[in-house]
Amino acid sequence: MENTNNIERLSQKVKRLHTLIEVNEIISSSLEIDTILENVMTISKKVMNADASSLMRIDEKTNELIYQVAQGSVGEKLKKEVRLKMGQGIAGTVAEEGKPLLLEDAYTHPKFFRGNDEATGYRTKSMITVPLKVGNRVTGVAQVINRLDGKPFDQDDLELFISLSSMAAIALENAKMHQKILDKQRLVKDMEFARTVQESFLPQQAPDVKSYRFSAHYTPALEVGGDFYDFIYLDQNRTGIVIGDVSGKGVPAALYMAKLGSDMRTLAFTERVPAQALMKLNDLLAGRSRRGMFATLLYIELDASTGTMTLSNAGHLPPIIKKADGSLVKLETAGGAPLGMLPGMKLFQEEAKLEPGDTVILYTDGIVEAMNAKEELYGYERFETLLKKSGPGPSALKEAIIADVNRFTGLSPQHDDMTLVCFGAAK
Amino acid sequence: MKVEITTQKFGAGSILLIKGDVDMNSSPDVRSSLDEIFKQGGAKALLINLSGVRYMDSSGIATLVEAMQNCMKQGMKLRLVELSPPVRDVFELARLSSIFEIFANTGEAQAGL
Repeated sequence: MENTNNIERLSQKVKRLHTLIEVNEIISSSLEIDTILENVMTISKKVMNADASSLMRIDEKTNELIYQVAQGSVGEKLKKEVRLKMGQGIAGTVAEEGKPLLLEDAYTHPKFFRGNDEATGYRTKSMITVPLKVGNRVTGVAQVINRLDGKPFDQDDLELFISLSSMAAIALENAKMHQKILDKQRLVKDMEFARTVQESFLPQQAPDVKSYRFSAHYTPALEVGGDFYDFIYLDQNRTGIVIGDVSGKGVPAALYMAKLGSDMRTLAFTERVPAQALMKLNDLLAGRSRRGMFATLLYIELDASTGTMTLSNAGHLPPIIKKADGSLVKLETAGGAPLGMLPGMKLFQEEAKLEPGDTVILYTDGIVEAMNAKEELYGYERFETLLKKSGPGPSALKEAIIADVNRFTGLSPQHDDMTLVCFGAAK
Repeated sequence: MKVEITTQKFGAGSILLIKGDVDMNSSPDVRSSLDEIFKQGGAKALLINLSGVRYMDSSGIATLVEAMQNCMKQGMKLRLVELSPPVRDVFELARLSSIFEIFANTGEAQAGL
């Protein structure tokens, strides 16, 4: 008699072991979480010889338990209608405490909520509830209800269900991680797309101004950036030239730059002189200031008929003129502090004459503060040495600067947006 | 080097002492220390001592600008104290001395508060 019992127990253990292997195969066969969990709970219900089984996940937004799988005669109704708070009912208590619970008769437990039974006409007797855990974090609970042979669940059942549930927890986590990877991939694609949209804000071609040449370069450090430049056709003689740098990097800077760029364009037309345009722009930006964001900006109005530049510089790096004779002049022009910090700020402007053969170099700090692997800065000394020996003409000068900065930084990642605008009067 | 921030009280308000690099990564730490001070409210002045700042980028400046704007809203004075040479260079290049009140030392900054 004892032998028969032992053999029966052994064969039951072997059967359960087979079930665990089967469940393991289901989990590794797919990333389709609904199907996996449905299959795991179907097998659990069968091997546990249970009348009903269910699996609830914690909704991270509300910290409530919601049914992911509910098998049994009233499963569909439960899935639609029931949400449990932490500590509410048996499932809520197990989720909160993180410990498995075996009940021979659910009605004897003070936390058992009879409402579901009353609403559905079902009679819950014995049940096992197990937390789904990843490390110490509870992500849901699994439950089996009523053994089909009418007996209550026992310790062997509890151990088996704990094993099955730990596998379900892994499946749930794998699916979540997979979803995160997909989300990340989508974000990367979105950012690549955003980059092309931002590139479309930049001038698509150099301005066509008689006897003047323009050349520009822009590379953001991240997919999108806060540097920008623009050429604005004001009339047949006058061209607006803008270079700017928004504080910070990446998406916030890029969004700020998009609005700033279009506001600047409008003001270039509506305001009489550059300083006036920048003062208006400053008030607009300061009025909608968030997190102290600001922009340095240099605006030049070039009158090609006289070779006169009117410059107003709001905290931007000083433009450099490479004169026709090869000498360099740094224009510490009138202007003021960066835009967007203080409303009502005064800005000034001044004029400078551009002779045939002169080239103006506008740049952002990504150029002069480019860093190599030894954390050395490119710096003004290298920049000016290169400017003296390169050229002539805007295009050749621009190419030489970019090549030199890239040679200096080597394989080091670019840490700031780099923008360069060169223009000048042909000889 | 990460940023180190200490806050001290004095009669008219608080002194924030910042050491290290104030850049895109460390600015949020400075910002939350400033938030604490603004949450308490009721002070006349906020002094920020920048003598120990090795490097400050535009995110760091934006954090100071936000502090200035919050001070204006709360009717507080913001005074920057003892700018380190690298900070002084950044302020000079971006012409920030017209925006902020800058003092050579804490004693001068506290005078008249």
